[in-house]
Amino acid sequence: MAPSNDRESLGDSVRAVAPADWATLFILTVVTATLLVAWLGGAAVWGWLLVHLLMLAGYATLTVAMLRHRDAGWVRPARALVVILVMFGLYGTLGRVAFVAIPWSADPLLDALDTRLFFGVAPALRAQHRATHGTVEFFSFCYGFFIPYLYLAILTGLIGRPDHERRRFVTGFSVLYALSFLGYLFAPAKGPVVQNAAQFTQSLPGGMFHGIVLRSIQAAGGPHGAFPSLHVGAASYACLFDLRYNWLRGATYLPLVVLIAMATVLLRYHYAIDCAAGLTLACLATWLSEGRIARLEAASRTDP
Amino acid sequence: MLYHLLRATFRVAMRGFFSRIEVEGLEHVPAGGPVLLVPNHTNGLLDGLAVACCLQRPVTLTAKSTLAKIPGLGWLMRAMNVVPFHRREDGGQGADPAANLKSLAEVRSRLAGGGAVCLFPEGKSHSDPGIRRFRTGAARIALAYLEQNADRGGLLIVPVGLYFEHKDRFRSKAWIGFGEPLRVADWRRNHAGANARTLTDHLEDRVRELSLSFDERSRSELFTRAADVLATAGEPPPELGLRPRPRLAEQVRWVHALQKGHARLRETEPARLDALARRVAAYGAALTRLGVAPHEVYLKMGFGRAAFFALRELELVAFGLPIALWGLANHLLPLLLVRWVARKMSREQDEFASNVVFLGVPVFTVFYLLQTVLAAVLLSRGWLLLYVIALPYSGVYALVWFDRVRGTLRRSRTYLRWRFARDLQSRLAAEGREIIAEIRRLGALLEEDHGTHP
Repeated sequence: MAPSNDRESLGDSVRAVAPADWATLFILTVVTATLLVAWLGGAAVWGWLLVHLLMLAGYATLTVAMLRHRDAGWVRPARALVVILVMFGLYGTLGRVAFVAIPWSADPLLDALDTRLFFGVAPALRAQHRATHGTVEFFSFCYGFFIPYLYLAILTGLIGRPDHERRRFVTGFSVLYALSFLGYLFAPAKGPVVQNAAQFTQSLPGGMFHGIVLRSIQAAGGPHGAFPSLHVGAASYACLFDLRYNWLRGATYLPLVVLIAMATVLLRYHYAIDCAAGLTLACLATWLSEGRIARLEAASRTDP
Repeated sequence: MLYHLLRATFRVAMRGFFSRIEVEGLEHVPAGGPVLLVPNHTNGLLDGLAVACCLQRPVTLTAKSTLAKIPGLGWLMRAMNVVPFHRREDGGQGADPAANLKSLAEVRSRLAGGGAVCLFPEGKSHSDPGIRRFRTGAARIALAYLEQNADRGGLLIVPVGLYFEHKDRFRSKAWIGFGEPLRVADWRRNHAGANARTLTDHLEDRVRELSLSFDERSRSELFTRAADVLATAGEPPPELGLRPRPRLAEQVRWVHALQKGHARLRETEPARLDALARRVAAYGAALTRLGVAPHEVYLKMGFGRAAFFALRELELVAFGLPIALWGLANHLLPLLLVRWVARKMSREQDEFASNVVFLGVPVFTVFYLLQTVLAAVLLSRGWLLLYVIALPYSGVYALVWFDRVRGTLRRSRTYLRWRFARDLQSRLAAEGREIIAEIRRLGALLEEDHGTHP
């Protein structure tokens, strides 16, 4: 419980920072710096800048506290909880901030890539002919089920596990979100629902479940944060983690992950390239948390 | 190519039969160069297959010649480059011991080519509690190789221990342990003048150290029960579904330690050993009567823990049920057919697993083909593709899901039992810990006497 040795060198302290902290500090710093540059350039982001600056300062303080009390019992749950809260917080803010702070939209580029990759017609446009009331409702249910799945995955990823598995889960989660937020920030996009609005011949013929999805999206500030798809990224990451550490759970939700990916395209919120990027980042986060970062983690003396 | 394809297929089949296969000591088998693998032989044809399936490099298997006369098996033996051996006792079934010269030459040529060959020095698969006396064939082959090739390639003999938890039970567990290799040239240098029998006895000892071998069946039950109690270390069981510890490997190690300790203390502490044996037997019988695993005696009873357990297991049961039922519907018929035929064909306990695995491969292949053809007639291309992908996935899923549901039911039953009989749990936990403490005390005696600890 005692604070670590005051004479510990700075190098030792830096090495002792957990990879999950590095990932969180990194993305908070990037977001804050971007907002600062945008604010200096005249964008109306002062409020957002303050919010992110406070988040960065808060997390930096927490990191120092966790370093000083690295053996204390509260460090591990605090890190897991705060990393997840920060990432979910950024998920809520970045979609809105990016369009104000970054003076371009990635939608035309992503649409062009999708069109080129899929032989002249983007998958979201191609899928509109299959969008019956039944399919829209079914895929809306799958799309919406992402939320309970993610929360359950986080719960089972953090509770009732050996320490090293819990650490890897938090590390991979933070790496995935940090990398994905770079996309949200520097390639802001609203998805086919906005970009291709004129090309869709009809609106989606949904019912109750589609209505819930629409209301949720509107409540979150409308379509944003298309690239990469965190619906696909986070679901894939949770699934990959489970396939490694709790095979049955991973195999149970594997079909759901595929359906979520299909739903994001059919419901017009994502380009296929977003899904591919989400899956790639999930694989990368898994690989990093299992390999190189796991070794770094072992070398650090903190216990997330 | 055909060998690799067949081996991959049998790997899948074995993963289907066993719920877990623990493998240890793979680093003892070099990726190249001549190697003789010498396992114990307790589970028929499956033993050789188990060894071959663990290794990346191709392994030449050996088998009794009469097997080649079984329809289909002869083709399989040729496809997998199995070398047949003609046993004297199979003379009535057409075996010709004179033809063994050809088989021996074939084995020597495979070794000279830098291959790995698996030989069973016990000669015959059996269900005895102990290892049978090794025959000298493997040693003679090794020494002859040395005479003919000097130390070219550096022939190694790798002892292999095979242990099957319940070899005639579907979804049981298996352990395969590769021991430290013996370099034949080194052995010859250190044992100048020694003959094949000496080398054989040495190999027998090495394999005995890797597998479980008992003088009598009652000893086997006693030692494995004591090992199970020791392996708990008086700690609660791990959560279901998480990566399990290598339980059989632990059991094997504990049994060896207990056997050694027992042998040493038999003279000096007979009364304590007898008393301990009675306690272990009574404790084991009580757990068996209750249907409780040794770890579960220490199950934690907190409400929060139980609630999380219920949430996690119900989630899997509920969401996995449709996939498991789909898998069951598509695989039940071939599975029942294979089990029924295998049961009918098995005259000995050590034949069932082999029969299931060897029958399972063609039967499931035929059923998969028939189901795919039927689906092609009834479904559109998209649904057909989905059906074909879902077929193996749902089959494997169903196996694991039913294992998990069994584990969940067992754990829930134990939890409820302890919830309504806290005293019984406390008594059993105390007795378990006391048994562990007594074994450790006896171990400490050995440490004092010999500087070792069981």
